[in-house]
Amino acid sequence: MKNLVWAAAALLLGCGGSSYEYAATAPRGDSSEGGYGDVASTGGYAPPAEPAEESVSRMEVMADASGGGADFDSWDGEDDVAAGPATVQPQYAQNQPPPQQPTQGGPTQTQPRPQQGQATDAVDLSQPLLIYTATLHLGVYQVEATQETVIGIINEVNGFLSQRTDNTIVVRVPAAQFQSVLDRIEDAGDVLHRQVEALDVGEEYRDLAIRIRNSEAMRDRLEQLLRQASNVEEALAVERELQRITESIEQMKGRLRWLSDRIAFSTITIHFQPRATETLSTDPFRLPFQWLDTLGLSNLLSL
Amino acid sequence: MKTIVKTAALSALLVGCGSPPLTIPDDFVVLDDDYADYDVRATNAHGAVLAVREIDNDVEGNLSFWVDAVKNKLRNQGGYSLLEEADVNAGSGHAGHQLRFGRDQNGQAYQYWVTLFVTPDTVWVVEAGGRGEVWTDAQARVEQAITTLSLE
Repeated sequence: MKNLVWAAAALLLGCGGSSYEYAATAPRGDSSEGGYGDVASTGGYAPPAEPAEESVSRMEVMADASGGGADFDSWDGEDDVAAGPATVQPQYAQNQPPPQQPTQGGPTQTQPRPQQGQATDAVDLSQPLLIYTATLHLGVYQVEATQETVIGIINEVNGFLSQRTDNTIVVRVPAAQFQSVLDRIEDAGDVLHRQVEALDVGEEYRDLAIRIRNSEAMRDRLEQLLRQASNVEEALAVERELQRITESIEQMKGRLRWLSDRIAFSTITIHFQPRATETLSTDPFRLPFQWLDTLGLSNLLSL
Repeated sequence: MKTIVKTAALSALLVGCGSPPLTIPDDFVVLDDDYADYDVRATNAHGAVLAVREIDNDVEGNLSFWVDAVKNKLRNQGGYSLLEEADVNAGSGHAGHQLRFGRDQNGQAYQYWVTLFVTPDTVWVVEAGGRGEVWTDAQARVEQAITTLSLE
């Protein structure tokens, strides 16, 4: 049974010729078969086919639960990863064209309105995975009224209010509506400053998906080893590893959910700056005729 | 004879300065007021004062406008009370308006009259005033002097 524990340890340490590859360090597009994220590929350790299918199934469940709905069925692994260049878009200046919609025509337009803080739109892995964020500084005359106008715009597109203070609101809008909403918000005041960013997280997203899949396959194998443990010592050793890898999986899933949410719903932060209003003098009305100021007994009787 | 001489001298002075002729009461003297806002200013020995100034009517305000302007200025910002107002005529026949203000200060009552005549080019402002009994003694003669104002 000791051999079983050693086998598990070797597996976790990555030695022993395991075919598991870690997406973050794996070469992209230079392998035509097996390998990258393919749990069932050849190698020193070949997890059974059934657990591998389960891991994919779990991934789908996870994605649904996260609201991100990653479309792993349509993703065939390595080739897609290699085909998805990780290019971070530069910031857009005031007059530069804004970024294109990342999921036009995708399921984002047909999803029901999400609860606040959730995103239910699916992530289309065939498109660049971009997180759009924008920051606007608007000069307005009536801050509260303009805030209400912006919130009305957000509601129309099934977006939601994320944060609100006296002079700032943060809203989330479906990525497909990002540009049109931005245009409408800009019409609500004078744009004093504008910053738009499109962050490509495709590489990180796909890496995470692969690492989750690998980790889940590893977890399944550890569960098998746990069932085969013959004494308490072996069982405890395997359980420790199980716990570690389970925590790692949950962390990665959490990150994936966060990315899915940010991809599906763009974030727009609007700072409202009240315009200085004219202050009317409270002094008595004065005609602009100087001689009127010299009227009076004080002058007249001053000999 | 003295009055004739004084009137002639004042008229010459006023004409020379471009100011309207005005008959100054006998007990008044004309002050050398080069530094003041007035075209002519005269006083009696007790402190009753009569003055005239000629203002360019660049904005072409009519008599009503200037009456209201003076009224608002003295009532709202000067602390004067409008005691009485009346239409008056100048010696040249032009219609004018007289505002009679009062003001109390340190237990003393003061009178201050502002009489306005307006032509398309000029606003004629005749001011007169003094303290209590001093004014009472001079009032009739000042009132008479105002009616001699000639805008010709």
